[in-house]
Amino acid sequence: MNWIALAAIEELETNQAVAIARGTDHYCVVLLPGGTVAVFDDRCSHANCRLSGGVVRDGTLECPCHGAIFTLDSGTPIDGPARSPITKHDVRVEGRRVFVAAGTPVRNT
Amino acid sequence: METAASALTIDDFEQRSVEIGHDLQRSSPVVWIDVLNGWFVSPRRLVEQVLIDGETFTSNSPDFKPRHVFGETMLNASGDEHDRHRCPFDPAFRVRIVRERYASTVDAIVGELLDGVHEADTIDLGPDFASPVATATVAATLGLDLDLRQVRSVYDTLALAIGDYRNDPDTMSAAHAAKTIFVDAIREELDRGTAGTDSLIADVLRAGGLERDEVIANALVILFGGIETVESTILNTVWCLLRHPDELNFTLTNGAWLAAVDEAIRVAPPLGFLGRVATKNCTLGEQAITAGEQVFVNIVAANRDPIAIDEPDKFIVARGAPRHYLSFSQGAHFCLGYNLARLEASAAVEALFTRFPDLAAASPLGELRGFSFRRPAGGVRLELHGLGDS
Repeated sequence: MNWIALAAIEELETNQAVAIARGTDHYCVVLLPGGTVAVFDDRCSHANCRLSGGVVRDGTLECPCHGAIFTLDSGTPIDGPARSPITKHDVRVEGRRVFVAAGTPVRNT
Repeated sequence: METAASALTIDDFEQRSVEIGHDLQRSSPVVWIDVLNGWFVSPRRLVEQVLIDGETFTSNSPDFKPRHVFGETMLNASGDEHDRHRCPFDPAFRVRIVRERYASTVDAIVGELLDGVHEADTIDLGPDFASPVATATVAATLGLDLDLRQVRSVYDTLALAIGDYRNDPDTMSAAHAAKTIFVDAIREELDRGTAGTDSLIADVLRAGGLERDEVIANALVILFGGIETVESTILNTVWCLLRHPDELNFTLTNGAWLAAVDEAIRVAPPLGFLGRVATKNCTLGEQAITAGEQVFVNIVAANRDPIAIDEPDKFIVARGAPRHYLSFSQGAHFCLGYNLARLEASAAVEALFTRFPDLAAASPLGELRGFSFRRPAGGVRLELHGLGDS
């Protein structure tokens, strides 16, 4: 698997959905309490808005555009207008560095 | 279907929307309806496609009625211009903010109204409860100090103009005259500036990006949009629960008020259809659509599409969830008040049934009627303290 360096942990803020671009790929990156990192395509499945900047709360991410709410563990929509999951990526944290798997989104259910 | 689909009348839709919706899904998924002067779309998949694809199907049309009444607003703007109008209002309508900021306000409004009718034997649910809940809540949301009866009267005048497909100039003039009461009240709130920490208008001013007249126009849209739709949601939910005693028992036992509201919004959506205009020649399903033609999506049918949901005509509270319906639209124009409307209706219906455990229909419940706005024919009259032994 090809891993892309995404960020240092210090660049992230706990429970904030941060936008990080690598080339033409735009990611929404969330650092959770305890150091787990969740990475999604920065694109809501409802109306293609950027998810970064959305509210992270109680294990969910709320899209800042129309309020679609997704679980952070799988990207499944649980409230609001979205009908499809958002694309979640495999992540590896090595030391203080966060890597995302290139082109291999986790299959959400 | 006995009538050729293209010749269906408004009266046909008002009387038989559900049956017509199922027929059209099977036989005429995208069909020209003469009386609408536009295409009518019934399958859920195609309805979603129209609502999501704002580049091909827009509400940014010169003929769009709300534009004539309110001016340029988030309702008719598209693309970046839509976002400029809407984004300053968005944060205040997020689920957490709505709960923190408005839940206690809604509870107080509902409680006060029920205190006021407590001694009555019967009430007319719409004018006595549902309408004032919706009107008081939306006025409070905007921070407006208005006489509720006056708000309702102005609302009715504006609604006539928006629903006037005869294009009567007097109706439009009356709407413009009536709305000045709202405009003046919003202007007063604007003059308070960013002082109010819990004020929607103050939030919008802080966010920036909109001229004063644009804030007023969009606030008018919110005021307008939060009245009849919420009133109908309360009416239709009570109507559904009273017609399904087992589901009412389930709701009472499980405290499933929001699920009951969601399932009622699915089977009895306050708005029966939504309109768009094609921006370019395109194909929808197998139907060619020409640029400039109107396209109406059939929310009644889409919410009951058997491909999307089992037993679509049954009211089943346990499955009540927003994912089952398109009543708040989809895409860029997804209803701004989605969280607030469901909070209001849920609080109102819960308080009504728990405050009056012997609540019963005071007269036979009519069928749902209406083409655009849908609610029980003849309203909902309630016996608050039960029917007694007589």
